[in-house]
Amino acid sequence: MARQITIDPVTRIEGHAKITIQLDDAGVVQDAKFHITQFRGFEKLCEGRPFHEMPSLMARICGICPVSHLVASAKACDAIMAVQIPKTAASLRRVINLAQLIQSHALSFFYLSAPDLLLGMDADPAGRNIFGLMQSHPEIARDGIRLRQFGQQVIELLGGKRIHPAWVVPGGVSEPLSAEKRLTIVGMIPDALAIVERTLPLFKRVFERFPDEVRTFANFPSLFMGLVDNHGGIEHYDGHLRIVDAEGNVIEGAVPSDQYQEYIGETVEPWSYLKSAYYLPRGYPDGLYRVGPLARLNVATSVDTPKAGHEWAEFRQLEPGAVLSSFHYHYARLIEILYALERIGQLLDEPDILSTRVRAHAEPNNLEGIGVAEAPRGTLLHHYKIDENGLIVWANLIIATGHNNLAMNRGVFQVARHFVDGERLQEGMLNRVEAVIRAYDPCLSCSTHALGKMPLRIQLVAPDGAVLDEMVRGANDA
Amino acid sequence: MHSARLVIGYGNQLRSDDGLGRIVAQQLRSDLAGDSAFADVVVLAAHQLTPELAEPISRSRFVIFVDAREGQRPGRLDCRVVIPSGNGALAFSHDVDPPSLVLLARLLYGSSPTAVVISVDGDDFGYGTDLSPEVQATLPDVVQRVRDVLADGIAAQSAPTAVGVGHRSGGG
Repeated sequence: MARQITIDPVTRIEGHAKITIQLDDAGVVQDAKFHITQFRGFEKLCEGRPFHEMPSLMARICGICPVSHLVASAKACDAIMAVQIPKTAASLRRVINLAQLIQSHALSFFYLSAPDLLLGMDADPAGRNIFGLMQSHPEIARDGIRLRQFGQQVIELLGGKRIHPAWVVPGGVSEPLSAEKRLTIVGMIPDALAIVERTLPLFKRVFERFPDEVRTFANFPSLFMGLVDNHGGIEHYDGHLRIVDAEGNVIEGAVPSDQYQEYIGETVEPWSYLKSAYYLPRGYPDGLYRVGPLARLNVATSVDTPKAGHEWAEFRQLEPGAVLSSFHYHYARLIEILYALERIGQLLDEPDILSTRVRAHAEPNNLEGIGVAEAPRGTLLHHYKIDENGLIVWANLIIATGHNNLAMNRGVFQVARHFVDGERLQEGMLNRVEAVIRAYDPCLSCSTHALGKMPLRIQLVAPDGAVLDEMVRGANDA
Repeated sequence: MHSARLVIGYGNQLRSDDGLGRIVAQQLRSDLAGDSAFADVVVLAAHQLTPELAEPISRSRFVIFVDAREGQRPGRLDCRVVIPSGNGALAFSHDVDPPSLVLLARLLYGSSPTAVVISVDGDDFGYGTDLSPEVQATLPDVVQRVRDVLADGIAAQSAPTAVGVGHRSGGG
């Protein structure tokens, strides 16, 4: 009899979701879906608000990457005001955006995914969590905490607080950087760099223990999208969107942000609140593409910092074209942390970084504005329209997890088909189905970071809806 | 070197009574400033307890957590000793409980100080920036209790009970 397996909630991701796996009569996986089960509604609730409130409002979308929303939103407001912000303000926005990337990547890598990588996908879920990691690899856990502290401290130094800072504003930033704060941040960089430099070689060896996962974790040809600078180098704040194919060929070299709607389509499915974005010229769902750290390393033709540039070159040797396995999002995250640390150092060495001219002031001069930036998980796009009074009348947000929705669903199906045996369910099989989602580090909101032994309900459901079997794993079970 | 005493007031100030811990922390910062008896006291206000706090906790000789929690009697003040524990029951990475944090400090940094939780039963954890009348009325008592415990240690409590794994706040 055909059956359905439900994994609800998916654990160790940012938010609430579930996975369903459809089995045929023989217990073979026929389909699998990743469902986002929470609804936020930010695009509607902001209607009627003054446009200049948008950065602060939109930052509330997420407690993990509020800075990225601040930056994309502020850029959309810059466009509405029709201002070019001071160069120092742009550099400072870059610094805080990269600090955000560091703390978010550290959370994803060390807290959420390292238990799988170091303790094993089949390890007892009772210990396959951050506590288990702290007991077996305390030095790595300490390093993860230290890196996350680095990112949070930089955000706090610049923005005044770690979560939802209001320092990034339309027209620039609200306060210049002081010499004292600059010195503090510069002084923290060597320690953080040392952590990444000892973590990378260690995990390169760890990744080699997962050949099956590398081969099957959303490993398929697809497009990739991300920002690049004017020379094709990796970029997280400005530049233009580039799309490459699985062979690494540039399909779109410079998508103007104000024309994104000619390149990116969005659709909704009845089984998820999350929109699915796709490359419009190829249609839905063939226009599947991926964003985020893996995509950024794939679309870039250079990484212009010494240490990360070297690591990027080695990374790109994994495959002749684009690196296709989503398992390598983990690897890409470490390289991006390295890049971000080096780049923050470069930015803080700019001669005018302490300039007090950090904000442009203007009234609305356009009735529409679009802001694009790279969040830790991928490209973030904020698009607003206002009325003559500067009030928001329409907003559209495309977030990284939406860009990746099609790819995550295909990845869940690929992993389920490879690992799940409907006749002999084992926890490790289902953990791998969750782990492919974790590789993308989807941010479904800021609300939940579930660890290890989360409550997990697996149901076998007949086509008529009858529950044939059920296994419940409670948070306090032994 | 365990020289400092640490007070961590935590909660979500957009969730009514859940913001109590942070309000207490803000008031303590102001009250204790310049008082030589409390010169070594570090006061942190946090939205939530996160694993990163294990590091400053490990460097402290005494820690007080201040929080609002779901309870039967709004405004009831409670003080409990923290028993370090984790046992894999931690369910959320950015919402760690005090016993887990103290255990993390021991596991990662080799030191777990004496710690207590001073908590107040909340009445309203819905959207809002104001404390409920019952919790608002308790605010001076909470601040005073923190000062008493800082001054006299756990002995300031008549009958402290232990709090282990599973202690959770009402909200953020």
